[in-house]
Amino acid sequence: MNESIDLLLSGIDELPSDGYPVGSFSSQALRTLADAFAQRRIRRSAETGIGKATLLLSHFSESHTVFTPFDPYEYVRPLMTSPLMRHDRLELVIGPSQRTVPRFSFDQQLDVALIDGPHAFPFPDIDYYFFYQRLAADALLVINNIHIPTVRTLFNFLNEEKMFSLIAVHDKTAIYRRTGQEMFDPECDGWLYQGYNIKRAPPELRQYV
Amino acid sequence: MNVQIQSAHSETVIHQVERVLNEFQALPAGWHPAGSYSLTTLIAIARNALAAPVRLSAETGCGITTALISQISADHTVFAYKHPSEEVPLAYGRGIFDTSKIRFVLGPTQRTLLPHVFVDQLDLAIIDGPHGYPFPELEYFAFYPHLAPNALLIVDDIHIPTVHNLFNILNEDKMFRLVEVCEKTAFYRRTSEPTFDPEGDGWWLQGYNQRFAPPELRAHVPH
Repeated sequence: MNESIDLLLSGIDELPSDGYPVGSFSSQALRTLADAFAQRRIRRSAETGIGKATLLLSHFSESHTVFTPFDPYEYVRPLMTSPLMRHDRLELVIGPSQRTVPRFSFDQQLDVALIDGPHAFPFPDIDYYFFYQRLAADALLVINNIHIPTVRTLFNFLNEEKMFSLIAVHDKTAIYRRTGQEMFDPECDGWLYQGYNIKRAPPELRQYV
Repeated sequence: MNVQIQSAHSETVIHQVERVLNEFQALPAGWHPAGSYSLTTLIAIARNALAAPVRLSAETGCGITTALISQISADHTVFAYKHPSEEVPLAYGRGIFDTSKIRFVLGPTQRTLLPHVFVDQLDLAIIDGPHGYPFPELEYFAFYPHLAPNALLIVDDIHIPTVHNLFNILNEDKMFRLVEVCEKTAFYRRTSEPTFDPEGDGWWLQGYNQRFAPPELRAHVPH
């Protein structure tokens, strides 16, 4: 298994950059992702954005949904025409993820979700909202480009969130594991139960948290 | 305290607004299950809302602001979990909600807001629904592309840390001018800046990212 992962990663390394100088995963981050993916069975996964991690997940996931704003055969042609890509495991949903993700019906829980779509506020927050409620116990949640300030707020929030345990940060990529904590109700309020708010509540709010 | 409002609006509107503010003071403690605004903040809301015509407005959450804005706006859409007759029966029973001008969209705002189609641009929007992260962010996303130039955007409970993040980001956004903070409520006016594309990316164009970009990103953000 390790040898085949090494071969896959070296093949991915040889591909041209994603064409998005700020956003590409580093080789080290891809290695960490591969190691984390290899430790579990990934029946179902989803990703906003498309790039080298897509290729990686096409090997580790049995069914991977990619929300991409453009036709990837035009946008990232070398990636899509690479012999390494396992097209039989990919489902492409083309269009702005701000529209396509909220409308999408997931047929089962996700074992991996990767947030790497549009990074402007509040787009990663929208990705997070629609993904977190689909995550299976022990699932992996990957956030890319945590160095972008508007993504950093999500990163800071997740670091205080009991639903997630931070397992690695490499370069600008954070990997979390979904804990056994009950899911935060996606249709209620409950701000006072969120770790980020509990930790930072000003004195006048302390009585509520 | 008998509240009196100065405004260029019609005497009827001003009278109704004053009536809401005066009735509000007669409500017993705990009339709103989630807590409510202070009189000082309500007066600030009335003053800012009365500063320009409000043809179409929207609000998440339901309470005394619903009554107040229903007296000022020609057409007010309220996204609330429950109807005010259930959520705030003591206030609703005082006859201060102008229901002829309110459209209720009932249910969790997390489900009702994004599919909603606004018939026109909004002159006023209030974000005061569920405050857990990332719910105010979803509301902001649903509202901001529909705000007319000079529209009033009100964000409540900015003292909640996750809502404070939204406040910090808006303070750096060229689409908005912070006009007032009253207690825990922020008031913005929509500037004439073009609407940030709600279907693109463009993080490097956002003031918050430009201001706080770490050194390795500085080359990618315009100054």
